Amino acid sequence: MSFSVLDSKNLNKFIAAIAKQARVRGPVADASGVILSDITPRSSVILTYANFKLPFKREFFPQCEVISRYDGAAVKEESSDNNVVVYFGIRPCDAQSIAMLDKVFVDDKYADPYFQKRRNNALIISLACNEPAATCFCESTGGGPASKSGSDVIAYSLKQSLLFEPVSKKGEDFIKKNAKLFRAPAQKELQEREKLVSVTSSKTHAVKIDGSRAALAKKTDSSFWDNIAETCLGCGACTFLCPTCHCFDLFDEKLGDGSARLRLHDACMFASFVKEASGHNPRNKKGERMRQRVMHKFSYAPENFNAVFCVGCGRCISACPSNIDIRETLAGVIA
Amino acid sequence: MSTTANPYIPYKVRIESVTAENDDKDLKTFRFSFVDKADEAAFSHQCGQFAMLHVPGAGEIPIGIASSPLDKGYVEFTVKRYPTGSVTTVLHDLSEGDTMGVRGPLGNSFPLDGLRGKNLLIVGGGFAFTTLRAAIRYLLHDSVRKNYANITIIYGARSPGELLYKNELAEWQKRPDVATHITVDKGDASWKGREGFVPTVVSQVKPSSENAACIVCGPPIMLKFTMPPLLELGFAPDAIITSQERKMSCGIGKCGRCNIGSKYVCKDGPVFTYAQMMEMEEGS
Repeated sequence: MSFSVLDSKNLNKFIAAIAKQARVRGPVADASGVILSDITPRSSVILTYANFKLPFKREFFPQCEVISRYDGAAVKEESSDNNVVVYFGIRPCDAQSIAMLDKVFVDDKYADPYFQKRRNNALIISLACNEPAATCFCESTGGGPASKSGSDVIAYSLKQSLLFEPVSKKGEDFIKKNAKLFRAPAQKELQEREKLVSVTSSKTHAVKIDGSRAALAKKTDSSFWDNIAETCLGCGACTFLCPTCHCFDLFDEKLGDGSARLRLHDACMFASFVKEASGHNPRNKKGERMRQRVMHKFSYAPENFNAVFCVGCGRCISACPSNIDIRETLAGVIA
Repeated sequence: MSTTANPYIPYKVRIESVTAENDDKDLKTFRFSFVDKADEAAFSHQCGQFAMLHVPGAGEIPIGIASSPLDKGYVEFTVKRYPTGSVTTVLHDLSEGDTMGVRGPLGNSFPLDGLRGKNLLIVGGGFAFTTLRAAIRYLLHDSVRKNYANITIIYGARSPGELLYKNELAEWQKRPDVATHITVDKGDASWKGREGFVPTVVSQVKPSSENAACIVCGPPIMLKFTMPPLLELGFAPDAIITSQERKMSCGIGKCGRCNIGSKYVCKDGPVFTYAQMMEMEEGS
């Protein structure tokens, strides 16, 4: 393991240097909280925040995008820019979600060219968490405040410096290429990093996930799911804010003599999600839709991808208008 | 794919003919030819697969392929129009010479190669008969028929006017190398054929399950009541092959819409054995 150090006071110099090589996006404040935005050396980059309100997946899988256009004669793939983007300050849970989405969009018989292109052009520098939120349970889902999955480089925010650790080959190349921006770490800084990781880990909340798949297989009783879903408004906030939810809809919109084909995020919590033109709806009840969402994350994804499709970011918990809490749902399943 | 590696971009096709199949005129068979001839070879499908039909400006729908892989120069789909179907209503208004898109072929197929030498029972109901028609056209082809033993077809519809592919049904009934049993729930004055529901006809015809497999497609209610007589005849659950349908957007296992339990109908199916279906959650 090799670490490189950037003194915190030089952060803007670092951003200026990489802004010459790529588009740079990182955490800044706006009226809604801390958001992921384009940054320049003049931006006030924020390093103390629990997480972005919106999940990182939107960078690779936007909420709405045109995938193709029909000009009246032929359907053509929508062209998109080919810029390299360096993401700085991504929380490890969000970085991990991208590694999971890779399994769906890239490592498959059919690669998704839109996701794949943005993924290939991205360099992800994650930022280990200093202070997890009350709703964080990443340790339980196979990640952690300093989890490296999905990151090319992971950075640790220490008292006066940032410690950078390459994770992927791409990350190693990035550190090497920019070697002159960094210095070697002091022993004290390495110790500070270790302490940060262990203290932060101890602050995340434990949720029992082990055994949930086997327990879910037995939860076929519809009343269990009806009870959980009773207060669900069907708003879909949990799915739109989930960093691993990847359901979408495709549809055509008429434009002049032609049309555009759009891809939009969609949600299994919506009543119309699987409703067919005949009127038949395989998941007509809220409880059935609740079960689908939980099963997809904690049973189907483990079966298909050997991974729970939840990174423990807690967004679905804090956003739910009727306080439905996935941690309680899982506890009820395992009980 | 020849024109593009992007799995979301359809091949451009021209409508060669539109055939109204039923009295209600809500079932039409569309015959397409590929505008770029190279696309036809790239499309090359197998019986049981489906494709997304793209009507620009209206959208896409997943439809089973109704023509045989050995039908050269064209590909056919039979589409039911629903009053609430925003794509099927527009598609049904298109006519010969219009162009649109076909994206695919998608999904798995009937395991016909693995069934060589066997007796085959093909059971269909209503307009779910389309991919079975593809299989029958393939199996009855001069170059293929000899690879299989006895072939028995049982096909039913609500009424005589609702039977699909009426000319072909008549041809198959004349052939000595296939036993074709056509039934309707209720006949009319001119109907001289069999009356009765498909499951009952299966019990009456009693096809042997010896060295045999059954491919069965139909509405859920027909499937539900056809399985018991098939099992009673001795067909093992893994020798009963069927096909599933679900609403789809992408057709390539990404949009998260068509799963039955952990399986995506688009990618892991649409063809499943009854043994697999019994293991699948929500499956019935």
